[in-house]
Amino acid sequence: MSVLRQALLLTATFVVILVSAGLFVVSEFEGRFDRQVKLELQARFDRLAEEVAANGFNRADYPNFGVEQVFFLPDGKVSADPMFRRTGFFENNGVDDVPDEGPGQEDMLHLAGPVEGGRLVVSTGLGRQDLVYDAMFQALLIVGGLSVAAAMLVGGVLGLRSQRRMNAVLTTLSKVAGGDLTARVHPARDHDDFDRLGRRVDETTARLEVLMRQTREFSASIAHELKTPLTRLRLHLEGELSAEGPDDDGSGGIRAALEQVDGIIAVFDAFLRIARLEAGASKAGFEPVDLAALSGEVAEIYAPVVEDGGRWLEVKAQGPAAVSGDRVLLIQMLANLIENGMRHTPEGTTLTLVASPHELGLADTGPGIPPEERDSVTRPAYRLDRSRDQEGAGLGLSLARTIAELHGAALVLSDNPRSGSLGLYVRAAFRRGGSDITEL
Amino acid sequence: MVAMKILLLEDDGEIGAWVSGGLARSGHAVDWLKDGKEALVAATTREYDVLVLDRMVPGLDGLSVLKALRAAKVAAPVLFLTAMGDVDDRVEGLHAGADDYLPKPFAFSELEARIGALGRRSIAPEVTDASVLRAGDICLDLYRQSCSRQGQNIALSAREFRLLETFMRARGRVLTRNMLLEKVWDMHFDPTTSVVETHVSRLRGKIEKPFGDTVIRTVRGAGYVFEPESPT
Repeated sequence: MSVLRQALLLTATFVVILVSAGLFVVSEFEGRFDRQVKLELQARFDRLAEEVAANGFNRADYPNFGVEQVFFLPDGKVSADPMFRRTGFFENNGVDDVPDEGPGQEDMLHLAGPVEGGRLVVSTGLGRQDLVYDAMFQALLIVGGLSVAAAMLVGGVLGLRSQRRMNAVLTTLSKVAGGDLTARVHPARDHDDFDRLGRRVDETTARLEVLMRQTREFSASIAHELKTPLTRLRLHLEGELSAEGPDDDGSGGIRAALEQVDGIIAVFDAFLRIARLEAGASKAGFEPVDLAALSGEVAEIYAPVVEDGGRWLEVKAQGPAAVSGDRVLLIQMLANLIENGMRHTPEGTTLTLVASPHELGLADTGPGIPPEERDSVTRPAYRLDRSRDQEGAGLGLSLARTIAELHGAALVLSDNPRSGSLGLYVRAAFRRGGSDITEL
Repeated sequence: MVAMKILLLEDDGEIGAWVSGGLARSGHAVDWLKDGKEALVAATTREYDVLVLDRMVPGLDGLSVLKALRAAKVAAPVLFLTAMGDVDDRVEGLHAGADDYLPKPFAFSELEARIGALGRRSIAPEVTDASVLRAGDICLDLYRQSCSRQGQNIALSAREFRLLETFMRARGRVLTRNMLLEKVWDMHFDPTTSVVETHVSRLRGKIEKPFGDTVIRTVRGAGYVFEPESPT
């Protein structure tokens, strides 16, 4: 909502400026008006003082109606009011004869000073000033209110629109990050920065999509180009083998060649599987899977194999532990972990399948993997130096990681918590309450 | 080996020649076609026991042929040959009505075993009553999940029971490692360890060893055959 917040902030700034300007205008006007009124009052006082000095004050000569009024306070009349003592302007007073409100109940400003035989008070009503003030205040209020409303409306509309356009870009980017490379912003026009941003995002995603498709097509065409010669090769070898008969002495070499071909096919197949899964295999086949039951099933399949290999397989499952997933792939992940565990641990090692609502993995009591190499071993074809002489293409952990990630889980390697710092614990850590995972 | 009439749709000359030749040597009659449209015409006009369709062929691809055949109510079992590593192809093929699939590159023995399984699908195993399977002196009670041989009870785990049941239903036919993995363990990938060998050898330890004979024979390079001595 940052764009909308910006619009609101701008509107608020505008309001502050508008109010300050209004206050400035009013105070400036007030000062000038005040000076003007006082100047006029002073001029009238001077003129009347001269007249009174020449002719004396005759009440009848100065009828008080309207806003201009004159009062004479003869010397004999003494009061405590400052108007009797001080010369200057008064806004109100305590003298009975001098009213503080004009005929329209407007405020009066008085100028009092000494003249021949008494004190002269010249007054003027401030009604004009109030009228101007009122008009000005109303004008400011109306203009200001309308401006603020307009600013808020325009700011809000523009802000919301910008926010929507920004959201379109953000939504597209999150889709792309989630693997959907067909997502596009599709800016309607090409007017401003937002359109250009959207266009640039679209161009980038389109480029990514092309690259990804090329990679996929490349691997698909490798698969297609190689599957035919490999099939031919395999059929040839098999044909040779059956022609020579199972007990023929010469069949040893062919049988070995056949095994090598099968090895090539297996490695190739594993690479292609990883590539396909990473290209975003569909989650259409996802169904609720109980990890506890699944690990029990895998243990049943593998326990005899592991035992024949001189190791032990146990299950530590907290069930039911339901996640949404692909059963076959999760079984394959555990199978890979077990086969990996058997390959890289000494005889007598205990392998433990661990399943809970948040993780699925295998802990062993073997030699473990140094922490600095833990990231690398899940890369395709990476093997630790000490295991380079052993069988296997090193794709097991890589495929396990791909399968885990397809399920929104991270493949985490750590020490085996069950055997102190010994051993290795590989697990798919499912996000708690993640969108991909439904818990029972 | 019962002779079957097989339609093979495969555009690669060498693979087609090897496969059709191999199947012919096993006693089957094979019509080998290289074009999808021709295969569709052949399959709708002639009776076949098994259809083997490759996905990538000129004319009409294998998947379209399969869909057209199923739409035309041709019920012959179909073995679908898919590209290697292509999980989606497998799902798509089975969805379109294929009975089995085999990724390329395949072993001929695997292909032959799967064709055998498809062709014999209609031939029922020896069933005395609805819930008891009998082969030689081995008796499997599907209802009570119990197994006996020569009247002696043999304790089997659930998975061993399923393994033996699979063998007995495929009596006399080769079952490959991959077929067993799929049927018994629901594993659609090739484990690098000897899962099948281990379990088969454990099963043998229970049903063969005490009786001193062989009912499950290893076919080198192919798989296993269940062949008990018939009492007749």
